[in-house]
Amino acid sequence: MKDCTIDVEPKGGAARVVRLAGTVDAYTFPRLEFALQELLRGGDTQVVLVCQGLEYISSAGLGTLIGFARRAREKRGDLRLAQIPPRIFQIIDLLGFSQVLEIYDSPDLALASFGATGPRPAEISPDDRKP
Amino acid sequence: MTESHSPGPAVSTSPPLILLRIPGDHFYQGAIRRLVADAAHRAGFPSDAAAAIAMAVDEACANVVEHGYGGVPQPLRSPPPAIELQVEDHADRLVVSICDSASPYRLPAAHAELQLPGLSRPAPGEAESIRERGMGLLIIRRVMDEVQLAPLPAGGNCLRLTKYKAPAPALAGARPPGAAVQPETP
Repeated sequence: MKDCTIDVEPKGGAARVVRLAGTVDAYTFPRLEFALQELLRGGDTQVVLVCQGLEYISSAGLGTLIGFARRAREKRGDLRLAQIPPRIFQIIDLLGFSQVLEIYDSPDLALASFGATGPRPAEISPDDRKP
Repeated sequence: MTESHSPGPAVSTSPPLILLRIPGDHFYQGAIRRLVADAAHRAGFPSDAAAAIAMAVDEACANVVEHGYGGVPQPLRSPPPAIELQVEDHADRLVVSICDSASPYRLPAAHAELQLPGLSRPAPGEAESIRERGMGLLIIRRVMDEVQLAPLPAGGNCLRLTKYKAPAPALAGARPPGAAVQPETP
């Protein structure tokens, strides 16, 4: 089992690229939470999370992603996921988050999506009752 | 998925495949996942199904540490609280029991818990956290076929998670072990 690694790439455009790999569980998720909090504090609300090397994510890690996406959207930003391994996608889909989070095949497509003006997935709000 | 609150701990006549006492500390969750996934795979579940069972157990143990034991790292508590993990490989099912010494609790109603993921605002005092809560039990309920909670005679709780190796007769549409994890049909 690999440890959790989080690489925040230098800012190259409007959106920030973060590469998440290894295991995100109840023990390691505070690192992810801290990294995303730092981005918010620095004003980065458009974030692409590249998950190619992600081996496991528990509810604590998924909760961190959902929480960041909601707060980013409140500031007209968003969290968009790229290169989700099939087993991780199954969990995201199991919880209904594939209807809430935008997921792309590649980081480039996810980055380009921030320039698009298409419809956004379901809003994350207290009134939303989708599981 | 069926669920019950039993008046007492479930009794098994089958010897456990694994009986383990683990410190109630998030640090050990990776080891628990590997152990349960290997045991489930050995019991006949394909790797995807075994991984899903391990995730359900991971979530159950995380809940014990965070909610039952207050999330305090094990080295700071004396005596250290423990989790007792038992895996039973029956002919038709795998049963994983997660027993703790925490105060008695009840499982929230399924319909209430379904509304939680990603949708709740931070509680007072949690303004600095960007984490959402309430998904662990949802994962457990969707992955496992049966969830039973019982108090232990000497104090504590025992959460008993069952996954059938073939579709359970009483559960219409139950998933076979090899099936991918999918959302329940509303």
